[in-house]
Amino acid sequence: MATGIFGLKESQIDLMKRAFWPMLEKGITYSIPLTLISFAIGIIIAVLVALVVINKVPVIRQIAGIYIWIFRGTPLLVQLFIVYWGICNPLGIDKWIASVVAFSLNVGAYSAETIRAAILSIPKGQWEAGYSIGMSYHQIFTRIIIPQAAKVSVPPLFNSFISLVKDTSLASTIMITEMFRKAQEFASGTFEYLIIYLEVAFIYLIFCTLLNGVQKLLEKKLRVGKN
Amino acid sequence: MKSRKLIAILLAAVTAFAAAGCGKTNSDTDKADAAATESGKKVLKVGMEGTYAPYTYHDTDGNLVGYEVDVANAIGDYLGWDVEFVETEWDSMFEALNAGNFDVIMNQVTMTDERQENYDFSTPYIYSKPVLIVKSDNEDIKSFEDIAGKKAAEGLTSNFNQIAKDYGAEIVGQDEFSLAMECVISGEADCAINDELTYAYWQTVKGDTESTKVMAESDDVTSSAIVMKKGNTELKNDLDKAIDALLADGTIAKISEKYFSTDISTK
Repeated sequence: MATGIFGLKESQIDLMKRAFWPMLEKGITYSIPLTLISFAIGIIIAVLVALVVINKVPVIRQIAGIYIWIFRGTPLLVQLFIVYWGICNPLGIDKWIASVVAFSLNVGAYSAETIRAAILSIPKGQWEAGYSIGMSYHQIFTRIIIPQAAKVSVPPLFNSFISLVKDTSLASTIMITEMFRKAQEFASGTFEYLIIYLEVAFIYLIFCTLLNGVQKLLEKKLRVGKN
Repeated sequence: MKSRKLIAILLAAVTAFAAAGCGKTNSDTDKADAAATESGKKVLKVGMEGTYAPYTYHDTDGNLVGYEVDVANAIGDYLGWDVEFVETEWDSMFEALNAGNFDVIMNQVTMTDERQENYDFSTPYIYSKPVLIVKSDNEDIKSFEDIAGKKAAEGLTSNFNQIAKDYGAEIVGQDEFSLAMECVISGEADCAINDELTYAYWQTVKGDTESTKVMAESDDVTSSAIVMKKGNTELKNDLDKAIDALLADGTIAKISEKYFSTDISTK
């Protein structure tokens, strides 16, 4: 049997070559859009939930608490299954929407706590200073609090973002042909699980490395760690 | 009080957003109701794993292929129906059939008593025997009776899992056949009970006939067939008619030769 680099058989190297582009393509057309859309919606949810909790809005605040409690306290895999098979499928809602809903709600719950902490980290004196020069609540919030809180929350939010890239691989369990499902297809037809999964891990690593770069740029722009 | 106003605005925005989202959802349902296409052709939606070689899997060009795929297409040709495949994980397969995501399952589904209570099966067209697989140097296990108290690597909802349990084995849950084999080779599991055809195919593809061996064959020949929801007599009659004809004219035998180098469609 012919062997090549790292003791791989020629057939295995050929399989890796054949699998690379189809997997990368699914990553670009499914995994990344799924991540971006879910993260964007998740952040909107997170900001709203954080505001509700900080401002102690009655009733809604309790609902927000229950939401965070449930989505941080149950496995994402189970959340996906329940959202799709328990809610969306019986109502005839597409699996794509189901996965966006599940991922958004999951990332929203974690990020709500991140954003709440970031907003609360801004000293009370900043509010008082704003009021003393006659700014409204809205003005203080958008012009003084948000810019500072955003700075604080960038590193932890990128943590959630990068986690989400890899979590989208769970969408394969509700029949979405994203990157990991494509890897499963190659692996199961050839029984070469280890090689294909190493390869797909490498592609996830590339995606996350790019995101890491974006985080660095954003931190530089927002001057994180500087006053 | 101003904070209340801000929140009210944001909540209104969310409500609007949610409403817009709901409006979109109805357009893209994939409920199967044996609908007719524009050309008036009937469509048969078939659920399968797409990761279960050689019954349903993807070749390295990404095409869905396999014994079940070819049989489904042959049935479609015979009945003049379009065939559409819906790939689903095994654990969700029956859930999806119940929910109407597809009309039938074609995934080498064994006709067990329990399944036949809840579902209708077509005429069987796959016959195989469960075999007991152990590592080549294993001397402890000689028959099915010997696996009591030993670890068996099985898919959790498979009929092989039930057989292993009935003989008193402890189950190591593993849905992927080749990973179950890895468990046996590494010693994570002592044995695996699985389909003789899947085992033979794995040996061929892996080029590995050394590391494991078959210690025993079950006398129970299992039959596999197309699964559908109970009570759809018309669909069952059409499928039975097609399978009978394709068995009789040798079409299914030919498909079997292609994937297994042997005819699995007769006992």
